[in-house]
Amino acid sequence: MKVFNRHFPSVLFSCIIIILFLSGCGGYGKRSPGLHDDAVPIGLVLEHEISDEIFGERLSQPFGIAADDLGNLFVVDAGNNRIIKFDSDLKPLRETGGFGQSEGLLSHPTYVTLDNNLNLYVSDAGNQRISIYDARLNYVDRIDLIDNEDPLKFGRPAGLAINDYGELLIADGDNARIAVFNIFGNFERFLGDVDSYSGMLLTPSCISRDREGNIVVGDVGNSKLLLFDSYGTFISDIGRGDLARPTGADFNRDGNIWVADSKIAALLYFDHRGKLLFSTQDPGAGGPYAFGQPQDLTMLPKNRIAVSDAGKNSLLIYRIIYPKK
Amino acid sequence: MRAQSQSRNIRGIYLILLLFLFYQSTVAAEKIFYPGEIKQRLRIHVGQVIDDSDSLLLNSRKLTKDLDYKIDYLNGVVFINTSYQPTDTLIVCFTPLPTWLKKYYGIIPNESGPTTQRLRPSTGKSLYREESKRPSEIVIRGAKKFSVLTQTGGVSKFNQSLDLTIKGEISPGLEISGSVADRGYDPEYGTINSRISELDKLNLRIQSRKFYSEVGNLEIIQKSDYGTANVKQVGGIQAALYSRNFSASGLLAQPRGRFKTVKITGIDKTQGPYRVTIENQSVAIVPGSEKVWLDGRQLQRGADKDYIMDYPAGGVTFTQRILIDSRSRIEIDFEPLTTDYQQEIYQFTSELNTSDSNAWIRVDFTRETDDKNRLKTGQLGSDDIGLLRTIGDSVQLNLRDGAVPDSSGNYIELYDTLGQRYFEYVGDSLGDYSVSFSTVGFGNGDYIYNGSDIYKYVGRGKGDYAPYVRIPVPSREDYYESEFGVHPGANSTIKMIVRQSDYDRNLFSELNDNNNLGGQYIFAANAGQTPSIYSDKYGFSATAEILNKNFKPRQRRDRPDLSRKFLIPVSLSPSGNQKEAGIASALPVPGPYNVLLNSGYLDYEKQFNSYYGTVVAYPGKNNSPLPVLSLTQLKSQLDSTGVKGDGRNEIFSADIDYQFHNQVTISSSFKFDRRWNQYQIMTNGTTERIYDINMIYRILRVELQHYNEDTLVTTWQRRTKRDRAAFGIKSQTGAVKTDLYLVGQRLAQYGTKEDQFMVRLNMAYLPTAYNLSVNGSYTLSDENRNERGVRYIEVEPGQGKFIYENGQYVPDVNGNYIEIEEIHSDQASVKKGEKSFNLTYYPAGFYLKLIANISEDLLAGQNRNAWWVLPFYSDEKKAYFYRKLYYSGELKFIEIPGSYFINLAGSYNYEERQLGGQNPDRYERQFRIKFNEAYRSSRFGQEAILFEYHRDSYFSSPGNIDGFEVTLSNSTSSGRGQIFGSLAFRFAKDTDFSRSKLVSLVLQPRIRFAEGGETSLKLEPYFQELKAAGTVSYRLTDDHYGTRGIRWTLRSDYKLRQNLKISVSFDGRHSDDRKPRIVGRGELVANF
Repeated sequence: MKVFNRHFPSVLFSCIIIILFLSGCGGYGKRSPGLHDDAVPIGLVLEHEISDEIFGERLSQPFGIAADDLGNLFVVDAGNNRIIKFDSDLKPLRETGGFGQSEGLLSHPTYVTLDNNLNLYVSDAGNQRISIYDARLNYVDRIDLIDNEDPLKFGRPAGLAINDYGELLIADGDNARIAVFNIFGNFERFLGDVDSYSGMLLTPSCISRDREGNIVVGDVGNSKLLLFDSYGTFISDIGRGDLARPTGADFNRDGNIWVADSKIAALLYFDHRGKLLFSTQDPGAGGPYAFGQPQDLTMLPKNRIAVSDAGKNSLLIYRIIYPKK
Repeated sequence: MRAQSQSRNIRGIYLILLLFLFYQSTVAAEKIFYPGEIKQRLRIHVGQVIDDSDSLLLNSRKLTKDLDYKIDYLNGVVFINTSYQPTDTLIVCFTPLPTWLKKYYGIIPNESGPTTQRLRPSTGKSLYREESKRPSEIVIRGAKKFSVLTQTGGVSKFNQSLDLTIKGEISPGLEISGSVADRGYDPEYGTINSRISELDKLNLRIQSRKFYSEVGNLEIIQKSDYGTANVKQVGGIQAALYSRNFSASGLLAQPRGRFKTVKITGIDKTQGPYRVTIENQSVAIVPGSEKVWLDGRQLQRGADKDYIMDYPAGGVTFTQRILIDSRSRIEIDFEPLTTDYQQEIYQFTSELNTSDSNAWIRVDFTRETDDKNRLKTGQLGSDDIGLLRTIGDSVQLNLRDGAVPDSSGNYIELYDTLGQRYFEYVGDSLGDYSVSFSTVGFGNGDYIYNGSDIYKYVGRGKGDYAPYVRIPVPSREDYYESEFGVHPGANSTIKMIVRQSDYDRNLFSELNDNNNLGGQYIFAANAGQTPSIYSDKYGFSATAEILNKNFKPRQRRDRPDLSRKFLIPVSLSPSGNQKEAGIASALPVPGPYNVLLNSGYLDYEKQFNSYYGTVVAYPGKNNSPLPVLSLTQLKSQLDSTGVKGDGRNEIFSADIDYQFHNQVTISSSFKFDRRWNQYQIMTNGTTERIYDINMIYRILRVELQHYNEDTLVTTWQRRTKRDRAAFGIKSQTGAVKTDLYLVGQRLAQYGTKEDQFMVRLNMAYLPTAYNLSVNGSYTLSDENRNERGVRYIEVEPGQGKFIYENGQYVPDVNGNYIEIEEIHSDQASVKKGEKSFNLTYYPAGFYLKLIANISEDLLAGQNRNAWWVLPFYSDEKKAYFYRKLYYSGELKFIEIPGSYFINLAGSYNYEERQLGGQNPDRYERQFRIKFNEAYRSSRFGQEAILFEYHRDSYFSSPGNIDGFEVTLSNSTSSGRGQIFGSLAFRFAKDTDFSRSKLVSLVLQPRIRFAEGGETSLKLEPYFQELKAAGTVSYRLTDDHYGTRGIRWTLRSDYKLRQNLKISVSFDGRHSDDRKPRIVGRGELVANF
């Protein structure tokens, strides 16, 4: 089957893209207009709460979550050492994991991130490694973080993000820095360590990136978020005084940031300059909101936001309500 | 009659059209009342609303109808009864009654419409679908990257990568979505087997209501005659067309493996690893492709479940939940990873239904084949092809002599007392022959594997390796399948399946191809409910199957343990056609019990036949205290190559499965299974009595089993008794999670008693609000384990962790070797113990982390003491078969802005193993202390490291090295840049009086450009005083060479435009005793 040589899919894909361009039906390079991106939310409405049995087990301490462009949702069920994939209708499609050290098994997984909708990276904290699955949750590979030559070089992984260059950013909460691995899974450099001055991290947790390549790191030790540019140069900190334990963060399409704080049990919304725009703790925010320990969140299409709540052992889907235009 | 029938059909069509119209027009609606808009009376719709289609959300709370609100469906008005604030938001979801319905019929239906939107169901409305309805909105995002790498004295590489996502609608109703990631490597199966410059991942879908096409990594479903369908991972393209009565699909792809199944018999006290082999060769397994069956029951993967897999080595190890002994019948379905030839799969399917779906026909064709011209590893010589041409279908003869005369070989030729030639390993380049060995199965070979590519001659037929090279044989499997079916009445089906396989075992040879064709013919009929003990209505089913002896199934065809079910002789190899039939019927009868009748027949042409009948009495309801009673009688007859004999099997069982008040579930069963036969000269058989009782009460689980077996060897004798008890607790109370599983077994057999005990405890305390996390895990078991050695294997350049330099494997992130653990032939009985503990606590101004991972295989005869429960304890005075310890601790305190002033850290990594009577060990110890200070825009650091490395001669770069390193550092930043400088002194010595003193200075300025970009330079000149002879361990010099030298890095990243970035870097290594090495890298990345 010679046609299936290694270049065939590339050629096919390129042809389709060219056809799309020529036909003028592409919104190439344009950002889809968000209906309410520039507005300040006035409240959140809980649309779905998932706490039932999924594949024979109830959710137990759900932690990291990530969504792909198709609206599929990947949730770390940390208490059961597994990853669950939901489709855009929130129907559970698959699970993978199980406790253990062998390939494909997990031990206290924390965060997840997606690479181009194709690979799922899981922080396997107990095994001190990153486990990689494809989008159908088939096991693919792993990146070991135990370096026998220098056992203290890496700690247990926490938050993960992929930058525009395919590099994997891993929050190392034990060593107060971000480790950057290249696309081959080899270590490249550190960010946010003691040489970063104002951008020094104390206990990094989550990482998220925006469309410009900037990354925001939740630092539960310093109770704030730190914003870095794509080179890892510190830009500003966010949420000092407002945040206590930022364990989850995600950018919306406007470059503003939603944050889950597991200590004050609240969701907060900052603009990219660090101004607090909305908090579920505000009296006028349409509450009360019954969060337990919101650990992580991810933005979904149509002004939805998914939140993993380890305190309530549930997955929450909220709709963001904006003022009437 | 015909007119009446047509009239009924027309009415039916109208009804369907009406329902369709109703379905299409009853679209759910939503109305949001923003802060300040909520009133006690709210109109949600001008017109009528369908009953029960409403859901109201007030902020994050769902309102209860009749309690929090009332609704007037006729006028579309809601009355709020609950309290609300001016800042609250109310969302009302409902389904309005279609206006056409009111216009033409003027009635108000009482039933809710089919598209009623509800809030908080288990599944919700699609989050994506609505967005994709916007016409012509196609979004493409991604990045293109070009990179070049060149180095002095080495090869240059050019690479490119593309990351792309696409999503949207090409035209109304035609959706496109997909991703591509061409990163120049293949992540399909780990880095070990990666191939450079392959398009690694692609997924593109185009679909409409009538068309579906997907390119890239796909999953296809392979239907199985037994069990769940197999999901096969392939890379290729598939497309499908749908219409009302017809569908057709095609697939062209490359699979990662082809279905295989193996049977393994358990070994007493050996939980694993059990090697999954094909023709006595271990094989790598496609991750996730396996299904493991034990005594006919499918197991689950996971260390807290039933088994774990080692995919690259092809091994399965069972956990504490499954105790393996010599009576365990294990079957594994899997896909071996393709390693010989590139495989291809073609599949075409079409299906035609009648308009009422009461009859259908399906035709499939599938080809799974090796491409004989595309061998993945190496190349076939003309001699190899010539050999394959001559062996025909006798593919086990694909062996050629593995010994090649070679003056720098590792083996010499010797002769035993019978004059038979054999080879003996004499060391690297000291022999006269290079010899390649292959596994041929235990008892078929003369050699055993001793590790590190060394094979030892142990005598004729006493080993599992032979000095041969296997030549891979390409094969091809074609399948044709047709299915015809009708539904003659409600709940009844008649269908017929005809399959034909064409299996060419050797594509290089046309010999023996006359027996490639095989057929399978299945007839199945059923009426009423599927007969089972869960059905409470009448049901009947019948199946008949004829299987041609040459038919080769593509997936599991029979239930696992078929041979036991039909009392098939273990040694029987069917040489003729197979016929199998079965009928079952469920008969509800008055009284507390229903009746299920079941019978089956199996016939191997002119060799063996067997038939059975079963009567089951079962209570008609799901949760009943009455037992399910079952009686089976089986008779069999063997008449094969002059051997004649009968067999009998009687099975009686009683099972109760009952739940009290939703709290306690009790499952209890008794099974009497007597089977005997005269297949051999002597009468033999077994009688099993199995008593099982399982109880689950909330978090508690207790399982007890008593197994008693009498063995018939001329007379019945009491031979085997097995008592097994298991106890489990799985609980979560607040932040504490506990999972305890304990199982013990006593096996009394042939006058001996053997105890087996396993326990696993997992505990976690994770009160995340207190910055504290504690995890502990213990596992204890008695097992037989294999010796484990260490070996380095070569992989693709840049994909390894080591390079081979000066006779040692030196760590290098761009290396071409990896270290793996290999299993040797020797075994020992051990008391296995594993425990891990980790604690992290970081309140304000303080950080503590402790980790301990301990794995011990204590040799039999040794005992652990009570101190072992301590997480960090391991008794070094005991004798171990294998022992690995890892400790790590960190303590940081006195917080300064953004960091800690005092940082203490220590680690210890130790392992010892028994190999060929020796106990080589290796360890690394490190202790670090670092002080950090900050003053305005400057940072200061003082760090001291004490280190100690030990390696026995078995390991690469052996020696005993210890020393220290002291580093002073300072960094200062300004608005445009940063400068980092450090001065370090390192001293190391070896026990053979080698010494190294190293002084190095690091200067690292970094400048950031206002336009967006930065340049950094790192200079590390060093002076080294080295007193050593011969090869020097890289650990002694910390990989610095000569008496003086310099290492440097220059890196520059610059944004040419907003979405275009260029990156250039150079790394240099110069010393006075070797040629300089300079590596240059360049990258250009465009985002769009």
